Amino acid sequence: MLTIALSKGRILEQTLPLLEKAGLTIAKEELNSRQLILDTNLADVQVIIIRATDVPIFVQHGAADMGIAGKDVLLEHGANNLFEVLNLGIAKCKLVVAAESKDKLKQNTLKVATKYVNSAKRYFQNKGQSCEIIKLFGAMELAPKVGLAHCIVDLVDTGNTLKANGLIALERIEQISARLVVNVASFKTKNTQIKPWIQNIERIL
Amino acid sequence: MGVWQLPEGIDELTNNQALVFESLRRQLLDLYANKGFGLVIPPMVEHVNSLLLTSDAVDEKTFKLLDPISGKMLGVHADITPQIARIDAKRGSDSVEKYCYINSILKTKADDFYASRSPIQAGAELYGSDDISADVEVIELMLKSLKLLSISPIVLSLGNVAIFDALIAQEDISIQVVTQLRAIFSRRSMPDLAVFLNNNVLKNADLFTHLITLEGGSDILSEALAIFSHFDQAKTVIEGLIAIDKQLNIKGIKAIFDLSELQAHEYHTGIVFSAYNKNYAKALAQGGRYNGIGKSFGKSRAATGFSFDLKFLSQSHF
Repeated sequence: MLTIALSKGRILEQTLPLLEKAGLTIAKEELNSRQLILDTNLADVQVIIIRATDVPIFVQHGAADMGIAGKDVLLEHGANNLFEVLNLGIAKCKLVVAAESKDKLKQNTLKVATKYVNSAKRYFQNKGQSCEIIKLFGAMELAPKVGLAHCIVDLVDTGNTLKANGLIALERIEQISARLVVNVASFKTKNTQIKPWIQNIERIL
Repeated sequence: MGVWQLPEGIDELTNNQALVFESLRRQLLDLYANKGFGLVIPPMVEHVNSLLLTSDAVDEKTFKLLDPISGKMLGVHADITPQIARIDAKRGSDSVEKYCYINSILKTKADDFYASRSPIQAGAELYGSDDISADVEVIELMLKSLKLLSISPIVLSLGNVAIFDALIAQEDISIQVVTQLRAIFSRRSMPDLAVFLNNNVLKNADLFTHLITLEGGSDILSEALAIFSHFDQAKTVIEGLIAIDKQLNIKGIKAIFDLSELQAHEYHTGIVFSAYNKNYAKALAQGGRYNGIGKSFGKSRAATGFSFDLKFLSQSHF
């Protein structure tokens, strides 16, 4: 049995048609049910749909053999014990540093609001910039406005939310898109099952 | 917190768990003794410089403390291999020496979620032979150890870090850039490699792109030979893997190959090998060649060996 972990939400809407093209379909009744492990059109493949941030954890520990997760999540998690075999080119966006103006970044110790704590810390450390990270779970754009932080590190798609809150994307940390990841041990022990899937998906990209 | 509570990542074996562990430990030591591997019991604590070699990963995982008697820094062993290097150098022998050990070690952080910070490392090491028969001997012993632990079937994966190292030696890039490239290879990220090669000019860009894809059955070795036909160092390494494959086949051992494999310790210099089983999400045993590991102790010799966490694997019986 091959278990594939998929990320819930926007990324799932773009993942399902891709998998369908590669020959894997999940019936609507399955998707609409409250079950956590879903059957597919293939007897030896099952799918689990979980929070995006949990996908690398499930794959790393072998609870799923493969998974589809955003590069932002993989960067933040550290992604040990898994191979990042394909860039699926879906769910594209950017991880950026945003502030009200460039001057706001000129601080001895920069206060940064983000949910991407590890990625932000690594980025500013590599730049030689001292920083203090404030972890927030949402409404990041509010932090500079109310004086909680000098800048934010967050994903940007169209940039409309930043604009509406008077922020400008000043530095790009990483170009983000969804990746196909495989557990290292599954890659070795289930190679004959997994490799055709990688090749199938690669062909349709 | 109750006084009986153990620190995070520290565990113990009791009752049947302890009995099964002890029975397996004795059987393994008998197996190693029968194959001519002499038992060593290195100290739990020694001078930190002796324990670290040049490995940042071992450094990060080593508990350190100040010796009130000498005023020097001591370390608690997080890996037995550097200690064997010291023991072999001290012995000063020029002939083949074989060592085995089963010791508790301590790590500042566990290798992964399922691992303990206090594993019991079992392993065997062979010093003084650069011949592939030495690698085959330790691979065979590693597989016999896992068989004794009733773990089967085993998927044996072979690679050789010397190809990557030879390609890197021809590039004029900083240590930071090499670290970045090693990380990309460790997670076999072809998308990240493409971005990396766009941002960095490398002489061997094409060969790196091929190398990351070279995995599969023994047929990939002939493919690799064709790709690296103009690169003598890599060619020699691949020919070595073909020779090892032949010797393993004679003994009825089948291997798969992964030429981009860099996941082993930083001190590995040549062939690396890992054992997998479909019921486990990580490598069960790992090893490889680390020629020259004893250099800092004044005796640079060829060396090859393997190790695994016996405490973790003995628990698969429950």
